[in-house]
Amino acid sequence: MTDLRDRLRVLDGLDVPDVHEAARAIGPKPPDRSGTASHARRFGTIVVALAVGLAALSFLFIRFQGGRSTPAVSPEPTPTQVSAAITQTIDTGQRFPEGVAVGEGGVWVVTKKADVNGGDLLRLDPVSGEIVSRIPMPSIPGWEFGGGGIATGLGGVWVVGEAHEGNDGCCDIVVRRVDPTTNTIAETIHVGPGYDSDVWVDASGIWVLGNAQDGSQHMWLYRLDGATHEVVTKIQIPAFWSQTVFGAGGWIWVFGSARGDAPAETLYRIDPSTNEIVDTFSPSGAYSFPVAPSGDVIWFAHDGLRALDAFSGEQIVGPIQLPVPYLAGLVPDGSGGVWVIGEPDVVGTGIWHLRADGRVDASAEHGPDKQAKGIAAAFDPSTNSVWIVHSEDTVSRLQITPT
Amino acid sequence: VVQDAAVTTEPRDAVERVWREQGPRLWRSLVGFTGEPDVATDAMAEAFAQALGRGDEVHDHAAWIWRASFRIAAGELERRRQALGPIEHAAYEMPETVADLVRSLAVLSPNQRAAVLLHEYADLPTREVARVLGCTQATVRVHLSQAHRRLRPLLEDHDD
Repeated sequence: MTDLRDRLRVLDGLDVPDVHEAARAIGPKPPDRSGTASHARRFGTIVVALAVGLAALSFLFIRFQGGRSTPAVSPEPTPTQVSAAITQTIDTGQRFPEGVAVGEGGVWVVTKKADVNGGDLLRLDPVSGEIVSRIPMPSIPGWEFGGGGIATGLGGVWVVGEAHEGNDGCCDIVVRRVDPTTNTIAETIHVGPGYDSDVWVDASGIWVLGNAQDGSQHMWLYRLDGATHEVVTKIQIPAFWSQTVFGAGGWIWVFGSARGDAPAETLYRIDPSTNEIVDTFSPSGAYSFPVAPSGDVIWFAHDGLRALDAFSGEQIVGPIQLPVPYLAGLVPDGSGGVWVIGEPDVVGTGIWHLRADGRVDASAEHGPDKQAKGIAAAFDPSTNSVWIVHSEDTVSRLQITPT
Repeated sequence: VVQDAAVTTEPRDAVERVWREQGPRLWRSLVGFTGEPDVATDAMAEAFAQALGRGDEVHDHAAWIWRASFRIAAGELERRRQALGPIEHAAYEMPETVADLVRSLAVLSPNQRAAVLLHEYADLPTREVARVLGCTQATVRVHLSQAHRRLRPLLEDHDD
């Protein structure tokens, strides 16, 4: 068998461009940034392409409001004009913010230290945005691109992580419950061997998703009793990689990659009454798209924006063609609708709110600035804010206001 | 050149040393990670530019640049995941052997792929890989174990 190191040596044959010169051309950049690459060159091309296509945007926008497969509903709403502006950017005091959740009276941001395991769970005041508590966490979610591994509900804030007991294997998946009345870790629950992925909490219990430790190509979904917090069962998910577990339509859903083409492709539907996988969906046939569960609707973006009815798994909205080349965010409002945030700094971008039936009922004429792009986001209906976690240092509030 | 030399500061020297000594290895690792030379170039250029801008704030420039480059590249992959339209690819033709390798590595999750490239190609010890990926050494070992297991059939195929 070919040695992997030998196989990787073919990379040595690549001619290396003068990246250092490119870095000099960019120039020294100040530390404060939104956490994404500079894409000036690519944006330039996109801007030119979009300028050529500007005439088509109005047509696209009309389609965007209609959606060719969207069932007719009445009455047709008149979109409310809103403004969407970054009104706050907060330094987390830790190098890598990882995820955000809203609930239990706060905005909760999990952050990672620069060089060691662990970090802080920050509690932000939803109104002022001030950090009102900083809770040290021995480990934090190991989510690969950030954004998951934290959930609120059942009187707690639940954060997954790893625990090491000095053995030479790997680790245990743990979920920690933070008591929002004391802002302290009230419980550390060892769920099983492996490493953590995500957590979901609802009336059916606490659902913790993790990778198997033994190198096998599947995930484990652990169910914890909502009252005793004990593991009551574990369900094998035939996905070799997954970042997402959520509840919708009375089912528990895992979004994972079945064939290994990361990041994800298949929705597994689990019946909480039997703890069995009862169905799978590959809604787009593609392997790379984001999902955003909201109430009993599962939104996803592939070749336009679409939504599944979480009860039946049938597509009920879309494809809706969007007048933007990239999404900066697909943020569920928790009530079936979704906020769609277009790529900042691109001609024709904007922000829209879609109801559960796919109708646009709010839109902003101007797109948000670059701080609106992050690795994770959560909507707080109490303040009409989207909290956006950047890949480095900061978290921002995108304030949505009727104009 | 004289003018450059006059304004050169120690952090700038350190960044340039990272480029001279590790730049090619970093760029090639990023190509293996992303499968896209233009993404590798953009991510690395951004990381170097940020390192220059941060000056004394960065204590270990090599570790910082490796980590920032992979982090930024991962962010760009995520951005592309959310692409709604066709993605513009730079005209960079990879040799078929490299393209074949990139296709093989694509079956790995991003962290598995990064762990393999950092440890098996760039020769970083697992402690340094853990710093780049922001996880523990134990997790790195799991990533490597799973990656080897998953790549085994592909490596066997390659022998045919």
